[in-house]
Amino acid sequence: MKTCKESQELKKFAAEAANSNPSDTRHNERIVSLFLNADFDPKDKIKNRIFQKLTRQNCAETKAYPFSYKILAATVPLGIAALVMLWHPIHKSTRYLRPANCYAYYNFPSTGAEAMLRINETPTDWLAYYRFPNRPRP
Amino acid sequence: MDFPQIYEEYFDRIYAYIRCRVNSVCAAEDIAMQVFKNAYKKSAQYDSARGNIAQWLFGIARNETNYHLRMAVLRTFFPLDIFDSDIASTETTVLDALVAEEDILKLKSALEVLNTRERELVTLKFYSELNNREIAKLTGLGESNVGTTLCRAMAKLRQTFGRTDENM
Repeated sequence: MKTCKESQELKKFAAEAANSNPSDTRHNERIVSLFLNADFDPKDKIKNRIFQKLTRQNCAETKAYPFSYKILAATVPLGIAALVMLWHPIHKSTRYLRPANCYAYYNFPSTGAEAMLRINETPTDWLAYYRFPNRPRP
Repeated sequence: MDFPQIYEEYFDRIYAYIRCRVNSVCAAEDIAMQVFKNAYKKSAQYDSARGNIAQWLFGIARNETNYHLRMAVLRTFFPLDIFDSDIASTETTVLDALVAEEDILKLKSALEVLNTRERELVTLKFYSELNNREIAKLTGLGESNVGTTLCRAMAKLRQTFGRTDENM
């Protein structure tokens, strides 16, 4: 730290605060020097300790969490969207015809006969089977 | 911005400023650490057009100290200074440590004579070496107000130190 003699600003201040009275100026300079020469941190113990702590914290912060919040911000919405898509009932196979009442409006536009055929899992070539009942089936 | 160099250059002044305003050594150490941590984190925000580095650092130190003093009204801090092994350490002799402690106590008791604003301005002036205009900008006071307060504070300190010298 500079002493009062070295610092122009403090020298000027000592004179100003004494209204240019030489005795008061000297007194002010002595007071300022007392404050500047006070050894608040003997042998730089605190200075070194704080510097070590700051260096350690800085290393820990840069190593442990590099861009973690950015990765989290990108993956969490994607994960939520994937789960919603997987669990959504739109992907489940639904039967077009419901067996409760084959003539009901929710089976429209199928006719009652078609509905019954589908419900009973009739093969697709049922018409040929109907026309030629005696022909051997594969 | 070369942070280690800035730390090396300004630590003593910043720490002395904080130590003069805060009673506990441990609290002063915590505040000093917080000041340099904030300075390092916000070093990109430093704008040389708005003031020099001393002004910027002392601005942070002033804010942190004021925050601590405001909190000290609400909370009760248990001073851990009694666990400080300075006096019993082998690095310095007991006598040296006691003499240094006595000097600091003398300065602290002299500062007790001043009111809060005077104490803040005087310590800023001594350790930051800023001129009255820069201090006025930092504290939000008028330049002439800063000058008058400093003159009054120095008159009080002259009286106090005169008295202590007579007593000795």
